[in-house]
Formats: sequence, structure tokens, C-alpha cells
Amino acid sequence: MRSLIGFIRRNVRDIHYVYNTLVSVNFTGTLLAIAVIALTLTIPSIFYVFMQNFKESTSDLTIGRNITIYLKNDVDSVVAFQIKDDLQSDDRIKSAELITKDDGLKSFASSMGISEHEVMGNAENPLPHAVVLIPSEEVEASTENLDLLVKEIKNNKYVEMVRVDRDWFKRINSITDAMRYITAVIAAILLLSLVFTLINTVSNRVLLHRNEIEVMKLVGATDLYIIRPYVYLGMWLGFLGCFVSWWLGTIVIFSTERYLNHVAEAYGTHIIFRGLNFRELLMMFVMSTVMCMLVSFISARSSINGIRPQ
Amino acid sequence: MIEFKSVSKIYQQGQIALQNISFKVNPGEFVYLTGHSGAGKTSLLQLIAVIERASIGQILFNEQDITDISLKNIPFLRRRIGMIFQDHHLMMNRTVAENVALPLLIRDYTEEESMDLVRQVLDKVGLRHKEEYYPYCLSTGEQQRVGIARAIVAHPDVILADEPTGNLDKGLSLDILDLFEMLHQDGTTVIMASHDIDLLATKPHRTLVLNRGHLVYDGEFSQFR
Repeated sequence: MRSLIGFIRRNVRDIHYVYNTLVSVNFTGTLLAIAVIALTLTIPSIFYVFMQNFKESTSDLTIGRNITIYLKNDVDSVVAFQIKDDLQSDDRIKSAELITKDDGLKSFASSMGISEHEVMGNAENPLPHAVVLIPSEEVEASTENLDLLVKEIKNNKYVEMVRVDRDWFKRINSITDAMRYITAVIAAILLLSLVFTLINTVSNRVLLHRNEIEVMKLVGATDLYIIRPYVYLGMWLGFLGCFVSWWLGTIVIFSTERYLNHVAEAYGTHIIFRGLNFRELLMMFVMSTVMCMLVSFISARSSINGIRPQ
Repeated sequence: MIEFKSVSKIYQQGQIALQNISFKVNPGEFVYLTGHSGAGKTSLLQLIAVIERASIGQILFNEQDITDISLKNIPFLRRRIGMIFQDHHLMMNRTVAENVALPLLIRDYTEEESMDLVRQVLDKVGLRHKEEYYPYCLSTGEQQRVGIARAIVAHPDVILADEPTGNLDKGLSLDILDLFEMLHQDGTTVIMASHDIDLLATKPHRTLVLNRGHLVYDGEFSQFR
């Protein structure tokens, strides 16, 4: 208990020390470091949010994402209903709708603006029964799964033809993939710049306190004791940088919403923007704080190792 | 307490600082280390505190071989040594009390425990009334007293003083020497390096004389003169 109280007191003292010596001594430098961290986190997080919103918006667009199954001409409506029910019960399929040959003819005639009798006369309806499927999100997200589903359907002896609008899938997937890749590359580059900035900031602070560190070493302070305030500095920089980034990102996202919706309207859709949810935000804070602590630890350790008391 | 067995120190540039030095300091002893500038006094003290490593030979501290002590154990060895320097090595951005408390804080003493001990030791060196001052507000002699207070606050096994009176006038030097004498009377082992023979003559003790890295005399001060 005593050691726990000692531990807490020591850490509170260190945090106080961080403010008094590492932050207030070079306040402008600290603000600049926070600004760099904030900008570094803001850009990938904006990309991420745009990507998430784009994905959610396009998930509503079902037209063209359907799989149309044309049954053989000799398949009667009882079998057609059976096939539709079988497909409906498959987990990989979100919904299945049967369009009978009569419905098909009615729809065709209606689109031509004439009656069914005028289309066919006394001839027999040549249209097959068709089943329109909307695949599940898992299948939709993977070309391989989609191919497998189509292959299985094609193997059914009652099926004449299966039509998939692959271009649409491919377009959506390739846009999403490209955005994901660009986000990852930008995040990696900016992360690297963040690491270098932080290393530079912490190394400068260590050099600024060189004499103090020498004295600490002479009176018997361990490296971990000397490093601790710098790790706290990293923790605060990471946390505050993330906090600023969160607000900056929110402002950017919602200020561009109007302009992006102009574009979306041209495609007959509307995008409702949402920022980072609680889980994503928490993850961003934890990642930023932990990463900055880790980089500060490594940087401080290597700088402090190089200081030898005289 | 401290034993040197045929110790030599050769720096990377090939400069020989100490050559084949052997001596033993017993617990509670007061030993002067003297010689001209560059004789090797500071190097010898630095070997005891493992600021430098011996090139040849063996150094024992409380019968423990510290010649090749591991890096992680050095801080714990230094906690058993109180070091005093000519230029004080004080933290100018911390108060007198905070400077003196440093050896206690790294040992996880609480603020209250530290302050009690700090006040006791500041009383001893006559600076209790200046505990809230910053070192740059103090005279050189007072700064040296702060350095001494910091060195003794955690009750080290030995005090190593490297030219502690180097920047002080005769009167202040005598005051500092009186302080060391008082610590010695309390049973602390003191090794003090100084080139000021006249000062050492005022309170004679066992004396080690170095000349160009060689130990040329080890005996009573009176016989050396």
C-alpha cells in the first residue's frame, strides 16, 4: 500500500515536473509539436471518415448490384417458387424476388406503353421466370465469394443464365480499395514524419536539460527515473495532439459536407456525414498517446544514454 | 571500504592518468588526495564513482569488485557515495531545498520525509534560512554548502570531494573544511582532493600524494611536509 501511494505520488510529481520544466520552458515549441501531431493525425482520419461515409452511402444503392437468374423456359412456376425459396434461405443472400414470366411480360408491355395482348397476340409468352437476388454484404465485398455464389447457382439444372453487373461491383470495390490504399500510404508517411518530429522534440528537450541529467546520474538516478518525465511529455503531446486533431477533423468534414452532397446529388443520392464513432475515437486517442509515449521513451533513452557525467 | 589494487587509467588518446596505484581507505577515515594539476586526483575519484573505468587493476568498494560493474548497477553504487565538486553541479532552476532533496526523491522518499531530512541537513550547513532560494541567488561559498548538503543528505558510505574549496577564499575554505571535519567526526568516510597544501595543513590527516599519475606518498600529512 505504502509503495503504491509512493508510486502515485512520484508520478504526480513527475507530471508536475513535466509542466514546470519541459513544457513551460519551451511553450512555443510544445505548441508546435502538438500542432504537428494534430495535423499528422487529422489528414488520415479525414480520409478514413470520408471512406467510411462513402462506403455507407453506396451500400444503399441496390440498382445494378443485383444478380439476375433466368430459369429455363420449361420450368413451371411451382419449381420457380421453390428455387426462389431455396435461395432466400441461403445466408449469403440478403433477398430474393421471383419475377414470373407473366410479371415479366406485364412489365415489358408496360414499359412499351401497350397491352400484353398487343405484344404477344395469340403466341405463347416466350419470357422465362427470373429470380432477382441481392447478395449479402460479405459476398458483395469479395469478388471471390461472389464468383463462388454465381458458380453454384449456374450449376442448378433449372438455371439457363445468370447475369451479374460486375462493372458496378468492380467500380465500387476499386474506388474503395484505392481510397483505403491512399489513406494507408498517407497515414504511413505522416506517421513517419510524426515519429521524426517527436524524436527531434524529445532529443532537444534532453539536450536542454543535459546538466540536470548529469547531476541526476551523479547522485544515483537510474535511466528509467530520468526518462520518466520525457515519457509523460510524449503522453501529453500525443493526447493533446489527438484532441486537437479530433476537432480539426470534425470541422473539416462537416464544412465540406455541403460541397460533397452537390456531387452526390448528381448521382441521385444524398450523403449523411458522420464523424468518428466512440470506438474509433477511443482507438485514435489510445494509439496516438501510446505511440507518442513509446517514441518518447526510445528517443529519450538513446539521448540519455549518450550523456555521461563529468 | 575502498581499495585500489595496481590500478592504471589510460585514456583513449593514450594519455596515462594513473599508473599502478594501490592503496586502501578504511571506514571512517579522512583522507586527503593532493598533487599538482593534472596529477590524476580527479581521475582517481572518477574511478571510485565509476564515472570512468579502470584500464588495468581492480577496485573494491565495501569488498565488492566495482571494476567491471554493470551499467544498471552503477546508479545503486553512486547512491552510496556523496560527491562534491568544485563547480557545485547544482540545478539552477530548482530551489536549494529541491536540490538537496534530489538524492532522496530518487530513492522514493515522500515529499514530507525528504523535507524533514533536507531541513536537518541545511541546519548542519547553516543554510536553513535559504531553503527557498534559487542557487543563483547564493554566494559561491553558499552554493558549495548546498552541494555538500546534497552529498550528505542520504547518509552515504563515503564522501568524495573534488577540489571543494577551489573557488573559495581562505576563510570560506576553512569553513568548508570544518564541515568535512564535522562529518568525519560523525563517522563518515571522506576522501577530499585538493592542491591547496596550506589549507590541508590546518587539519592534517592521512594524505595520498599523486605526481603525474603515480602515487608517490601515502602517509601522515606531517611527515609528508
